[in-house]
Amino acid sequence: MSRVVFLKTLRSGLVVAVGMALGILLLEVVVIRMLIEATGDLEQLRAWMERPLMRTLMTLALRADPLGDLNLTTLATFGLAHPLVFALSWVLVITVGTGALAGEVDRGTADLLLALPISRAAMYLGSAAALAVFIAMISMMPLVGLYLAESLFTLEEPLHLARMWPVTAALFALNLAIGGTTLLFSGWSTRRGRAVGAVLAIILASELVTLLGHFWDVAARVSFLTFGHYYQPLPIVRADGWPWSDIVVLMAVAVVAAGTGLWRFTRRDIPAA
Amino acid sequence: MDVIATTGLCKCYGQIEALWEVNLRVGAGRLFGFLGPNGAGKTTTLRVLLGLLRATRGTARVLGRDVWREGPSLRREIGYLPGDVRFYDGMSGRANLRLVEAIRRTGSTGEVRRLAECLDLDLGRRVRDYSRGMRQKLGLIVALAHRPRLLILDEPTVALDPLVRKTVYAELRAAVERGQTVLFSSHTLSEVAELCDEVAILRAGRLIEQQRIEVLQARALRRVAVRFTPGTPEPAPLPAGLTCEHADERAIAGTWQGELDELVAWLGRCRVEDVTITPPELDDLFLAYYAEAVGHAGEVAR
Repeated sequence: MSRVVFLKTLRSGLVVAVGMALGILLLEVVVIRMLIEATGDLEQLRAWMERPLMRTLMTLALRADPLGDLNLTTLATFGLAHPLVFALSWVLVITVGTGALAGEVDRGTADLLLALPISRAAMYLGSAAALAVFIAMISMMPLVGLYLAESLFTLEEPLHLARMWPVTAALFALNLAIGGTTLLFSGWSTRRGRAVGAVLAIILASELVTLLGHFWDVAARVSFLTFGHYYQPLPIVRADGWPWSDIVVLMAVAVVAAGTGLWRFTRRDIPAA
Repeated sequence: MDVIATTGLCKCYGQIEALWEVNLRVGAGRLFGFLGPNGAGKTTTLRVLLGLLRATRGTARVLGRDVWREGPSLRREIGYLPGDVRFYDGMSGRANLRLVEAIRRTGSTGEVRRLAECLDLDLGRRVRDYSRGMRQKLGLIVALAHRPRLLILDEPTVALDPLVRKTVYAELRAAVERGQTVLFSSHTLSEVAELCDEVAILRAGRLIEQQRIEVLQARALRRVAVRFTPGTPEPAPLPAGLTCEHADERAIAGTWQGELDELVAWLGRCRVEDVTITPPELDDLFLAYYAEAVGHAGEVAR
């Protein structure tokens, strides 16, 4: 692994990372603030969430029906499953992951690096390591935000944040799987735009199948092929345990995808920009 | 030992043969020019030598080592300037150089400073504020600063003003005097003729000529113009090496190929009022090679 490429990739992604991290922190604080107000009148909240559309949307986000045990902790899980959390996290992952390999080739700076005494594997692994650091940081942000919100507001009922640690681990594994997929296309592609498009297409297809799986049996049968199938925030909180099998699957996806990207990147042509 | 040796080197993109059976030899301490029309495969060859492209067939060895398998260690001894040099725009020229030095693990600060002064380049500015010529200068510093055994330069003087070109020529000559080898591609025939001691000409992916410059100069044409003294009888029959482009009873103009002795002997047999013989023009020779390539233009894409 190239330490220079690792540090360079960290530096180049720092501004985006800080922006996305602050965005998630703010989101968590807002979510908890809203939940505190909403849980003041649980019956009214329950009535609101029993509306079919709301119930479906919450179930889609949390991967389980939240009405079973409605309390601040189960509702706070929404902070780790909000679409904005995914959007902000994946913007960072895709920006860094495609900027490091396909972006270098696209901009022509790969010529500068690869004409130096550095192997392609070292360049790839340096970029991948920096991406992993960003993924660890951004995956922690929802939990950090919840701790921040807990310290900022007076809560009438306890918020069991210790039960959010396994969800955070699963979120980290999910983001790693997205990161590995990003590296795969980034290592393969000559144009950054194409790599971004390919990753977005996979994410959208995965989310679409997950969504359709709630209404359509055929989609439900293939939903094991989607990322979302292995990230179930509310069931994890309810089980109060570590979702090892899901984490292992997501990690395996990350390793296989990133490994395939490495294999390809070390054998491909680097065309002139 | 040859610093660069390719054997049967081929690079194909599907059906397109960007390089075909290229056997190139560059000896140590040479200033070697690499010529060819656009799309001839010059850049492809240089990129294969750097390990940026993988040869479809054949072998490419630099400094005795395989360019694909031993690339990283080999590139420690190579300085490369790409045809379209790019840097990290948000960083200063100096920061870009620091990044390069960190990867090379060399301390060439003194040489960097000297080259920046020679080339009159402000390293403190961000690269995004650099002009094309300034980027080219920075690229030259990256390539030259660590004094590698081999310099591979893809059109090194493009976008440089004539004064800076002279500086670059001097740096390249000094590099060769130190024992370094320089391989550079160029479209400026006069600079190749002025600088190089050997050239290779690539056309449509094929190496059609590799020769020392003196041999090519011997083959090159001289322009000859002769004005005879008025009222003299018919001049002696034209020698075989003289190709007439214009002739009347008072003067002839044309080109001469071959040893000068024969031409001088013929002039001695005539009554000559004035004569002009230019030095051999390599441009004409190169262009003759290029001209044959016109029919191939567009066949080969990088």
